Amino acid sequence: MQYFLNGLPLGAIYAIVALSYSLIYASSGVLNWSQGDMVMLGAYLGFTVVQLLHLGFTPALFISMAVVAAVGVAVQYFILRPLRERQSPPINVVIATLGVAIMARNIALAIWGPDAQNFPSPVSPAPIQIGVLSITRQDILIVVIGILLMLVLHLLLHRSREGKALRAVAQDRYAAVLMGIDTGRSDAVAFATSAALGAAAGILVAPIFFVTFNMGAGLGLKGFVAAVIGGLGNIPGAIAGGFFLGVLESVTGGQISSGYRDAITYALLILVLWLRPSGLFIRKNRQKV
Amino acid sequence: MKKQTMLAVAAALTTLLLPLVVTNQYYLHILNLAGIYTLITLGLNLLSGYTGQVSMGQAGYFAAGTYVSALLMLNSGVSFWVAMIAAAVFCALCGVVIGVPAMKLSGPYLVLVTVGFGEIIRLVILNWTPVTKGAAGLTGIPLPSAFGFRVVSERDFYYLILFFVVLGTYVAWRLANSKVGRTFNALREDELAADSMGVPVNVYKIAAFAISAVYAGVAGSIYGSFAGVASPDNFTFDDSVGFLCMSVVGGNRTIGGALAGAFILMFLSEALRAFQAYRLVIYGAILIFTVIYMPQGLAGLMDVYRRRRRPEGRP
Amino acid sequence: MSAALPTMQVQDISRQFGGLQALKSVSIDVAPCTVHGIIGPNGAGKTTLFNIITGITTPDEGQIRFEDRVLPSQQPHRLVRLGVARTFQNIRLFKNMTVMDNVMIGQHVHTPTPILSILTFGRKAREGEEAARREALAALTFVGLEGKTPELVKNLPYGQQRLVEFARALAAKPRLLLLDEPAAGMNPTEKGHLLRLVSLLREQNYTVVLIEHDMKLVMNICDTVTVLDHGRKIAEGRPEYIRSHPDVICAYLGKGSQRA
Repeated sequence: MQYFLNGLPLGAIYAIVALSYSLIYASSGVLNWSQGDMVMLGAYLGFTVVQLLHLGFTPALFISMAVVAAVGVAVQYFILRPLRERQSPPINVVIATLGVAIMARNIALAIWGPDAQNFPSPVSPAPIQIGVLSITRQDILIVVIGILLMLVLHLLLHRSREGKALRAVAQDRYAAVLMGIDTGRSDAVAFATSAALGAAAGILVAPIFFVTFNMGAGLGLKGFVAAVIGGLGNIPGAIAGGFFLGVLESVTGGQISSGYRDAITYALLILVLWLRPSGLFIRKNRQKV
Repeated sequence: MKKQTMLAVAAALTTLLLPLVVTNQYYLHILNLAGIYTLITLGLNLLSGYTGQVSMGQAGYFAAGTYVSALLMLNSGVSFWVAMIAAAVFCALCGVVIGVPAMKLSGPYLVLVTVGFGEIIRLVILNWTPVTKGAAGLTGIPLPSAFGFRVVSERDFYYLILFFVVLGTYVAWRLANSKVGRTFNALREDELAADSMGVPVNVYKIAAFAISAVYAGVAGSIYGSFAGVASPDNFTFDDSVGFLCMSVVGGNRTIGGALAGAFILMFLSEALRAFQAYRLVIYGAILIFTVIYMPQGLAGLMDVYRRRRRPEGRP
Repeated sequence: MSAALPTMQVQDISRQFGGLQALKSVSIDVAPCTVHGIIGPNGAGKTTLFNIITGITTPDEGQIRFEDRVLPSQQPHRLVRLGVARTFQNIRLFKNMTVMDNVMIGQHVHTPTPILSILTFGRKAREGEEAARREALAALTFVGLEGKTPELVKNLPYGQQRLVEFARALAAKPRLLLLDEPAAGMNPTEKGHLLRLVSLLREQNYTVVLIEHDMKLVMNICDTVTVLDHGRKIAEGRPEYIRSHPDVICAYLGKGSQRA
């Protein structure tokens, strides 16, 4: 049960990265492998804002989200757009976003160096006891803010004009174009939102994680796994997948073996995909002949 | 025609005599490494370029090839060649095992399965310490010997690797330019149509997985003896990504592209050393640029050039 | 013609998608060496029927018999060996491959795949490829595209792409040819050409089943016409009979628009 609780904060982070993948996949049809690195950038930027500008946690959060969102838009504009115009095969898009990831990681390395940074937490690290279970304030913060962010996203998608445009594009891109929706703009919104969410996740997780230039690699992969579990393109599924993965990792890591933990996760995943090729939480899509 | 044969002969001679000219051991080492990677990209091109099954887990087969081969040599004292064959067979089986769930999947789901496989292999190697020595890795992997000659130096390895690259290229080339290659391409283009025209889709897909696995396994087996040591750090997801990049940059729908890709990226990586800290940043930028503006890689560029010179198409 | 056993029988086929009954107890007998048309308003279930015949979709009920053999319901690739080939409503060609390569795929089951021979430049491989190429060229010549063999399919105009798909199906040497809207998007000249081709096929003892929306074409070429509407068979018979059948007119024009 403790493992379940421990898995929640990590699950929240996975969920955020996962829904970023799904958001971009649903609206643009691409896999953005630099998603995890947005998290990394967010963490580092937040750290810099706090250390250099001596601002608090909240301004750091917002500044970081804004800057990383701009990075996301740049990626969409300079990389996704030309690829789309040239109708490049999907494998090229994968490589391009991987290229972005490589660049991001090495720029971070050049700026902030190879050592892990210590990010101070806005709340006390002392754990709270609830009976036999314990949880830290940071963990609670992560989960709470994580859920808040997801709510904000939900509102954005369902109440705002940009959000509605995004959902239309996700359902049927061609029809959306015919309806006059600027898909370039909706793509940019998707990328900006995903990047901002990633940055927020980065700042949230920084106090309990090792913040290094390479942290995006592992997170990006896990986030992708979570998104697939939930059914790629399915946002509630991605959230469910993220929490599911976080808890699964925590439980298998604790109960079975910590070394093989990821191997078990992947094996389970392959098994799931074999039996239900479209993911756990999505209904099967029929192919048009 | 004569000009082409002369060029071919010149190229062959250059390749054969290269290690006599290039005496810098470091450069020779890089060349050898590129050669080993070329074996991987040859298999990957057949799987991902021709058959359209994007794999980001080739490092898994590569690792399996290295470890199976090395462990057999270290623990059972078999020769390099026997070990290699065993590694190839094992990898073929791995290819089939992954092919079965993979054949139902496409797009990101397929990618995930291949990634998962690569990671599982790496993690098993990392954690199965009694057998694989875990993170410490294997050392003292025996060198191969052929016809009484021991392959020891960079130059020796050059010729060994050259042999396999030539063999691998020949096999891939023959397969690609036959019914098999045509069928692979058809599967990439429109699987349903191929199915309706009588192609046993699953058989060919699994075959493609197995073939790419064997190529990577053979490469792994050579790599083990070449490096002398092996550890799970050499076979990460990032390495799988690297192989995919080589495949795409060279041009993943041709055999020539496979040859080009590994060498180009290796040399690029080396050439950029001068830039030190920003080396990989530039590398990433070049990667992005290539993939956007040269979608079929270098081989694609050559193909466009060739088509422009002969407007009525291939004879 | 003769009272011969029907070469293909759709027996009591039903299929539901979610809440929608795409096909309900549809039975059709197709006589050998005839051209059999299947028409009906959009959404009538025509392509679903084709997909069921060719093993892409499984029926909820019923079966398909061809030459007195039950067709497998889930393995499209087995159908070519049994003598059935098809074209698609939305052209499904291998766009980045040449015309010749596209059509040669049709020969897949008719040529061997001798791996060892391929690797050693052996005779079996060479002869297999030559045979496939010959058959493909014959099919392309039949449709009139023999000059286009090295072209990439994606560079061909629409009408020619349709013909390439036609040739590909022919290269599979079927006895039953299923054409899904073969004339869609064609201009009158191209349609005339298509008509001639189908006519020739009938003379060469092919059995052709086609889905079409172009009534003139259907009336012109078909020996028998089956009409589907909302998943059910509402009429069947010779073209002249169908043309003035009140239920058919109703289905197309809606109720209250019957003409005397």
